[in-house]
Amino acid sequence: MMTSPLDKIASYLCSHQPFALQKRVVELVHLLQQDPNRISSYIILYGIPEVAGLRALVWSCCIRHWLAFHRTDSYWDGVALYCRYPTEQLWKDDSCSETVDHPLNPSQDSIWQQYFSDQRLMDRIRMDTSRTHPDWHLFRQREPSMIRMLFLFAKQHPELGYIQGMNELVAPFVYVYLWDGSLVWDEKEGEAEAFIAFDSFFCSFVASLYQNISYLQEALVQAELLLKQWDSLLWQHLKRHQVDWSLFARRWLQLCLCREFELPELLKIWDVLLSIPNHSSLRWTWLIRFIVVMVLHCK
Amino acid sequence: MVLVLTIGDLHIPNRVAAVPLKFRELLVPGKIQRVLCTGNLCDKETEEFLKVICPEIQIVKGDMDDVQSEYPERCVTNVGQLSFGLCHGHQLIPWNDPNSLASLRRFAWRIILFNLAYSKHRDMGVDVLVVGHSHSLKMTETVDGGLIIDPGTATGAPVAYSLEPKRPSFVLLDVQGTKIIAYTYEIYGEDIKVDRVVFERLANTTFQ
Repeated sequence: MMTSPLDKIASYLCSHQPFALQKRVVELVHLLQQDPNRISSYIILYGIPEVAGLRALVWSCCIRHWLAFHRTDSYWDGVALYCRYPTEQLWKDDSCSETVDHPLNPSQDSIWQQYFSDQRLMDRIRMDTSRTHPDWHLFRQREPSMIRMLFLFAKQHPELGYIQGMNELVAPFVYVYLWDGSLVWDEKEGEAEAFIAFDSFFCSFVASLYQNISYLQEALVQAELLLKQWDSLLWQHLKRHQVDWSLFARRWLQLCLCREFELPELLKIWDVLLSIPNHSSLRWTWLIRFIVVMVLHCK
Repeated sequence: MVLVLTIGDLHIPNRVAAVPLKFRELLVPGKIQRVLCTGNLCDKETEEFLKVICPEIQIVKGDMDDVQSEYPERCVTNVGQLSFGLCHGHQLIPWNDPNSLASLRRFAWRIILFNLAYSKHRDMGVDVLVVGHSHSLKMTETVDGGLIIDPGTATGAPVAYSLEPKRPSFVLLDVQGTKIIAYTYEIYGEDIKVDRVVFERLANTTFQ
């Protein structure tokens, strides 16, 4: 039987595990390659086996399957491009220009102005990343990676920039790719993969919430209607007390439940979320239903 | 990658009213990490103005500074891998003599001034000496890998022995390891002229 690289990696990862677990891993990998559309239902029923590195593989496969081809070295090229100190750029392009670009140059197209505004952006990012999971040593160690990823994202998507809250969304990717996935990739590749995953996840799924307020309101209205359908008593109770859904549901939606669950449970939820293909807005429906279920659970 | 501003000989309010508007527009807070001032501010408000540009500031005493101001005569500090010495320069007789400036850079602690005792410190020179008092912008590389910088006068104040007004100027240094890129800012009439000079391969004698 022909074994693909994915099979080889998966069998390496679970080589010391009990036989039943190995069987499940093989099943999962087989499904990933043969029939990706059924992967979400498999994960909902059985979950991803807790083998180090497997989750990173599955996430990558799901995201790459739904995404056009991305080169991993484009990440480090981007970092090198945007994190340069101004004088190196000047040495490269300066021949005999009339005016010298100097650090105090007030004009907007000066390289130095760009550098100083980038430094201010970095300071904002650094302030937020230092508060992400402050008690986890893993995140303190990986803070430079998080800062790099968020900075590059802000530079590549200037219309979004950096929004507070992105640091929370990046944290699970850092955990899965840089810690859990350290058997599969080394540090540099892992960081590039994490960035690609975060980039595609954010742009395809969450960005619409931040960009357009009407999407968020629509989602909240949908959630309310669902609750009315499933439990009209609770819905009436909330209505009577004039509870505004955007008070609590907004944070749940915008951060994809990052602040509501601890990391282990959050990863299980995100397994399902990421395995659902995004093109038919099934993901949204699933997330909204999940939120309504959370409200029902609090009853 | 440290930006160091060298500025001095402002003589506010004695000889000049204020820093030129063009310079005030350039010197905004948040960009510069260190300020080395060669002295002769003559005013508390000017000191506040310089402190706003950057809180990390070192000022030395010039001959026209307020008697109550407690600035040291000389100052030695590290910026990155290089050691910087700061002195106003009126203490060296003859004034603005290149040889005595060069020996001040090499033997920073050994110059005997009036009643100052001979220092028991080791003979440590500095890599870069920043002096003022001549009111003219000059940057000299010495043969043993040192650098002497005179940022001139930031306000165009005349010297003590002549009424001829001088060109306002200051120097911004970009210190990268042992390489210094110096940006000189001078006002010619109505315009600011900015020039860039690179000093590489500076000697490395960090002050302990």
